[in-house]
Amino acid sequence: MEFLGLLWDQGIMRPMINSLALLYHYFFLNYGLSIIVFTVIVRLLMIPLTIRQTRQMKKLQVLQPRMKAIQEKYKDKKDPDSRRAQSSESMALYREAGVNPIGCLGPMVIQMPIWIGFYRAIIRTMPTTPEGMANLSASFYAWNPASADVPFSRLFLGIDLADTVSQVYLPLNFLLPVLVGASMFITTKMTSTVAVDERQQSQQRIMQWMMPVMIGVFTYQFPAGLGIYILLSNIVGVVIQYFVGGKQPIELFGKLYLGTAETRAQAIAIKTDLAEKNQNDDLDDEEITDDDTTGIHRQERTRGNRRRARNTRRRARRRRH
Amino acid sequence: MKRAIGERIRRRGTVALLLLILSVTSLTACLNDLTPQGRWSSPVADDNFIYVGNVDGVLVRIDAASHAYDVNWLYPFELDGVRKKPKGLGAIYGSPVIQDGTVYASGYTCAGSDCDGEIFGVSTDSGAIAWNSGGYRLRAKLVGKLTSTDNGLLLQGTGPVDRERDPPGYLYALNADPIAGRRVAWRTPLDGEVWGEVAVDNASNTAYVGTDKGTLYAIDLTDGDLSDRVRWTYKAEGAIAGPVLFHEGAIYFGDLSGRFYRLNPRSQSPDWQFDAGAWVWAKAIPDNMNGAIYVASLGGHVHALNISNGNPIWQTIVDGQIVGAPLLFDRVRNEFTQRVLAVPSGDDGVHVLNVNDGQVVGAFPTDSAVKSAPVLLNGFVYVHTLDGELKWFSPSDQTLQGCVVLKDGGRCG
Repeated sequence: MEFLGLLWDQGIMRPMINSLALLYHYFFLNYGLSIIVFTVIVRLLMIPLTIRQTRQMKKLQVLQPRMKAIQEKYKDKKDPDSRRAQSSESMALYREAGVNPIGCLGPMVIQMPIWIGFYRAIIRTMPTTPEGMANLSASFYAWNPASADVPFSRLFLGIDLADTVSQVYLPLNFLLPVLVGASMFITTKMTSTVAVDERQQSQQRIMQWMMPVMIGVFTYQFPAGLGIYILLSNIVGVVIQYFVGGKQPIELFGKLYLGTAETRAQAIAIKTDLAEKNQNDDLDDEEITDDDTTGIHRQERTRGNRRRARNTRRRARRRRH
Repeated sequence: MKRAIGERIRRRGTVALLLLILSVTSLTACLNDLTPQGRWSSPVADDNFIYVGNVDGVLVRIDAASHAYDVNWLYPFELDGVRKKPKGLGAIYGSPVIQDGTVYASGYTCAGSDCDGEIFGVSTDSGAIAWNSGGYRLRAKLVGKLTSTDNGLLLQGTGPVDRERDPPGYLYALNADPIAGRRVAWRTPLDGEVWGEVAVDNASNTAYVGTDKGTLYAIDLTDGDLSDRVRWTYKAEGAIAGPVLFHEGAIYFGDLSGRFYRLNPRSQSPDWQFDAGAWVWAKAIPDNMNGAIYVASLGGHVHALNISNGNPIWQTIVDGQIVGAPLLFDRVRNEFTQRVLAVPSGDDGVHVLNVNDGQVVGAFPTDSAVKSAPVLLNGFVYVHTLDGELKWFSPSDQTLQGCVVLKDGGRCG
């Protein structure tokens, strides 16, 4: 435990505190600027992970039908042997495709200690108590010229960065959590794979809504500096993800935004195919007791989707020529 | 279906767990880093009692002879029937000051950036509160020790009182005389917060105070309402967090750039300055007998400097940060007198150095970090430790003679 504490302190806290302080020293003694630059640097350092995550996501997407087939195969078999077999078949599939099923969580998992560390770093670099000040002195590397700049100026655009967001002036105290939540929502949207079944869809919906709402609510009690960091980090993350992920369109509330004509067409096609598959599955599952009109409506909707996808693809081809 | 639900619950649980960890960490950070803890207060004594601020921000006293804890004398308190129940200010950092039978101190606490502080005085005889109406309350941080002047003023540097409208700091002058009608004689704005003790030159009626913006102010202490009390200022390289010392016509102070200055008040410029290599917070100790001044830093270095030119004489490093002022005293051992310096540090001990060469010649085993200054009173060296205990030692052989828990007068350990 002591080792973990030491690792946390020497491996995360001290480098973070010194980086922030150094940026403060070189960026016009402005803590807000140092947070912005720090955020951009962290996100740039995470680009390799983002690329890896995007690749994993794409591979997972390709594997989904085969995964579903395995699930179907063992749908009614609940004995331990069958479960083991299902699990080993799934793992074999992942291995074959070179995919780590939890690999796409990498950036998220790495972000959490950064957030927590950053939160602590903000509080520690802007101490309000004498003991906090004395502790800060112990965190500086001997060569860091910023140690002579303490206490750091806490104001940025009229915001006291060490104050909680709730203490920031109106309407920014409410706006910042909303922006953090919204940017988190878009980030989650962009980094989630296309769900192949209802269950996955509902899980994704929970993740896509719960995380942003909770982080937004928490932000209200975070130091303003951390709120700004999360917001910026999300925005920079969205930009990086957009370009690294091949300019995929972002789907918000049923509509597609950004993306190229080609990627939009692909997205529509994937969606249509999945909708079709799900529908077929549903129809297979259901006994035909049926309400014919619902079936007709579904078919029409599917046909409509397919037509739209075809048209978009055609338009994209024409534009290329 | 059941499996799906189970998996969903598991996933939700993971997210909730992560968020819980985040919240708990945040909360712990808040509690530890945002709340002033105090326990830097050094004891002072009159003929009968030893006074010190405890862990809750309550001024308490123990009998100097019997070391019995006086449960009937404390401040602040609330009455529980006829019994005085402590109701602490949160944190007391500065040591108390005794003037004309009244002991004065100040303390504060903060919730976020909202602070509540109080400067108060209590009669050493009756326990009656000075100024009749109780302590002087200020919505500000009150970290530094109060300083009394020859003309009956109590000086206290503060942080901003109203963060929206006020300057970042003030120097308050309060009338110490309990009968005086007006408590606040005057106050003068400063460019930053004051965390250290104010120094006074009674001959020239000037106070010297340093701010966290690195400005040393020379303030006019003349009675009456002056439009501007600032006589002159000097800009140091770093923030001045520690106390300022006025000694034999010169001003001594350190800053957070690691420099230590001797300032000439006539020329308003440094006679010399010394790079201590780490933040200087502790009050420097002049030693006329050796023609030296001892400067300690948060990096654990103790420097002996030639007081006239600032040249280093020796340097020693001890483990832990040095925040409290060292204690200079003559240690008598086997009829042999040795001049030593007791240096409080953050590594569970008060180190004893030989002032001639800086060699460590012993230690007071406090078993806890010490941020207050050790003091020599009535033949004992008293140390207020960071775990809230007052321990007293034999100055000759550094053995522990006694200990009391300052929170309630209980036995240590």
